[in-house]
Amino acid sequence: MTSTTSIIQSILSGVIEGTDYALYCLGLAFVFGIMRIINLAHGELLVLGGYIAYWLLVKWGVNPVLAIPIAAGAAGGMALLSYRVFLQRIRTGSELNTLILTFGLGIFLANLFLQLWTADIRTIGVDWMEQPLMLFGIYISLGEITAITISLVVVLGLHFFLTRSKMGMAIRVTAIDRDSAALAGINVERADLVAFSIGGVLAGVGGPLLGMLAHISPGAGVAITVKAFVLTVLAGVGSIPGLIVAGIILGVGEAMTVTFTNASYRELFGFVLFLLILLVRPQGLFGRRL
Amino acid sequence: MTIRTVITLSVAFAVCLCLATAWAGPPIRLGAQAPQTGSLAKHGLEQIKGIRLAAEEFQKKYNTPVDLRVYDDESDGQKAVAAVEKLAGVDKVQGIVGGYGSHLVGPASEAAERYDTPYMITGAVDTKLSAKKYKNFFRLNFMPGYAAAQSGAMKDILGAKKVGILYNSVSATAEIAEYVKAQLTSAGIQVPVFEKFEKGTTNFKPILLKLKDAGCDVLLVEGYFPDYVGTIKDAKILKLPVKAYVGAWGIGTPEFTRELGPMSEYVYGTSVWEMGTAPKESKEEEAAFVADYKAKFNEEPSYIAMLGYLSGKFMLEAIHKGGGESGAYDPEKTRSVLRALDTMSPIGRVAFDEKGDPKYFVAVLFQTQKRNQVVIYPKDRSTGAVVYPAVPWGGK
Repeated sequence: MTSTTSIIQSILSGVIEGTDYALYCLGLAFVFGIMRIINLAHGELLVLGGYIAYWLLVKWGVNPVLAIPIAAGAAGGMALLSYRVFLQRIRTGSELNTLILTFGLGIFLANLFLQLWTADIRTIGVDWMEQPLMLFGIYISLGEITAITISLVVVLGLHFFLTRSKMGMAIRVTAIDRDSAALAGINVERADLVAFSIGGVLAGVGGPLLGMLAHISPGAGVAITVKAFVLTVLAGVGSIPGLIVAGIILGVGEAMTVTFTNASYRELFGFVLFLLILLVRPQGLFGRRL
Repeated sequence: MTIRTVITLSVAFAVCLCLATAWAGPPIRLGAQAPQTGSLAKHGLEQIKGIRLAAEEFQKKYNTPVDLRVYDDESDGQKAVAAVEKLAGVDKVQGIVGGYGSHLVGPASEAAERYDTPYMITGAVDTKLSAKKYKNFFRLNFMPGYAAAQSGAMKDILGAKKVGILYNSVSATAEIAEYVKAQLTSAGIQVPVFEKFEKGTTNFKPILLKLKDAGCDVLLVEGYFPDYVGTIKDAKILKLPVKAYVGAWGIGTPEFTRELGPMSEYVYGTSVWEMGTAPKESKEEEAAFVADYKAKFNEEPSYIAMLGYLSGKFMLEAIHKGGGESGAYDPEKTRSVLRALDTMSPIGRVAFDEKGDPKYFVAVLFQTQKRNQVVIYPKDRSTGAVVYPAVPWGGK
C-alpha cells in the first residue's frame, strides 16, 4: 500500500527530474528551434561540461556550482569551433548534412573523452549538496534545490535574452526569415554562430548538474540527446519556458507510473506520451515558431 | 672496410637472424574481443589489460611470441559478432578471449562456433548462454555462483526478514534477480518488492519508496555501476530505512570506492576475486599478478582484470599444449586441453563441465569497510567480520 507521503515524495522527485530534463534539453531545443539543426552532439557537449566540472573538483577542489561558468564556456567554445570549422561550410546544403555531421562530431567527442578521462564512470560528490532536508516528512537535497534553481534561472534567462536583447531578437528574426534579416542589416552568419555557440553553452551548464545528480561517462551523451529530442518535440519547437512544463509533465508522469504500476513501464510512459502528442497536437504542447 | 669483411658481416647477420627466428618460433595468434568504447568500455578495457599481461607472461615463460589481436565491439551485439568473425575468419586466430555482457557474448559465441574457434569468455553470466552446448564455449564465471553468495549471506549472515529487489532489465541481472528471489523465498525470507527498471534510469526514488512502505530490511540491487550510483544517492536523500545495501557485480571495484568515497562504505557486493581472497595454493600467483599489474598499468587490478588475465593464460597454455605454435593447429586439441583442465587459481578451482560452464565457481560476498573489501561469505573464505546493520546514509 503506497502511503500519501510516498506519493507526494514521488511527485516531488518527478518535478526535480523534469526540471533537470528541461535543462539538459535546452541547448538542443534552442538550436533546433532557431537554426533547424538537430544537434546530435548535444549530449556530448553536456558531458564535456560535466567532465570539466569533475576535474575542477578533483584537481583543485572547485565547487561544481562555481565550475558551471567554466564548463559552459568550454562547451560553448567547442560548439563555436565546430560551427566555424565544419557546420558553416555545409549548412546551405541538405538538412541531412548537419544531422550526419553532428552525429559524427558526437562520436568524435565520445572517443575524445574516452582518451582523456578513460571509460570510468564519474560522479561529482559534494557532501553538503547531498545532505537531505526534511520538510513535513518530505526529503529534498540541497543539490536538488540548486539544480531546480539553476534550471529555472537558465530557462527564464534564455527567454529574456531572446525577447529583450538586441542579439536575441536578431537571432529570432534570422530564424524566421533569413533573407529579410540580411536585408535589414543583420549579420545572419554571426547570428547563426552565436546561436549555435549558445546551444553549446546551455549544454555545458547542464553537465555539472548531471555529474552531481547522476553520473557522467564517455557514452552518456547519446541517451541525453534522445531524451532531449523527445522533450523538444513534446514541448513544441520554439517554446523555451514550455520546456519546463513539458519536462515536469514527463518527469512526474514517469514517477507516477513507477509508483502505481512498475518501474519497467517508466520509459513506455514517455514514449506513449510522445506519440499521443504527435497524434493530437503535432506542433507540441506549446509549439509555435519563434 | 674490405669486401671480405662486408661479406663476413652479412653472413653473420643472416645467421643471427635465422637463429633468432628459430629460437622464438612461430607466434601464437590470440584474438581478444571486448568493449573498448560504449557503455561497457570500462569493463572491457580492464579485461584487455589482464589479457595483455597474460600474453606477456606467456611469452617470457615459453619463449614463444604471441600475436595478440584486439577488436573493440563498441558494447554492441552486432559489432561483437563482426569482431569474432574478423578474428576467426580473417586473422585466423587460434583462440578468442574476452567478451563482456551476456547480450554481446550470446551472438558472438554463435559466430565463434561457426568458425570453429575456441572462445573463452569472462564477463557473461547468463545461464542460457551455455544451453546450446557449443563445443568452443568456455567461461570462468556464471550466474548461479553469484546468486548463491547473495542469498546465502542474506540468510546466514544478515538474517534478513524482508528483502526488496530492484534489477536492471538486461538478461544477466534479470536472471540473477529471479534466482535470488526463488532462493530467498524457499528460505522463508519475504520479497515484497521485486521491480525491474530500464537501463538509463536516473530517478530511483519512486521505487525506493516502495521498499520503505513495505518495511524491507535489505535493499538488493542487481545492476551495474550507474544503477548503484543512482540508488545510493537517492537512498541517501530519502534516508531509506534499511539495514543493508547489497549489489551484484561491479560494486567493489577500486573505481567504485574512489568515485563514491564515503558513500561506498558498508555496501555489499559479490565478486569473483578480491585482493587477498585467493586460496592458499594460489596466493603466490595472486601476489605476482597484483605486483605485475600495478607495475605495468600503475593501478590496482579489479576482478575483471583478473578474469581477463586468467582467460588469456588458460587459452594460451591450451593452444601451446595443443601444438598451437607448431604450425599444424587443430582447435580440437585446444578444446581437449581446456576440457581436461583442473587447476587452482586465484579465483578458486577451475574446471569446465560438458557445456563449458565452470564446475566449481563460487563468488564471494564482501562488505566495503574503510574503502577496503572485506569478504564475509562464504565463511571459509572470509577476511573479516561483518558490520551490520550499516548503510552509508545511516539507515535503520
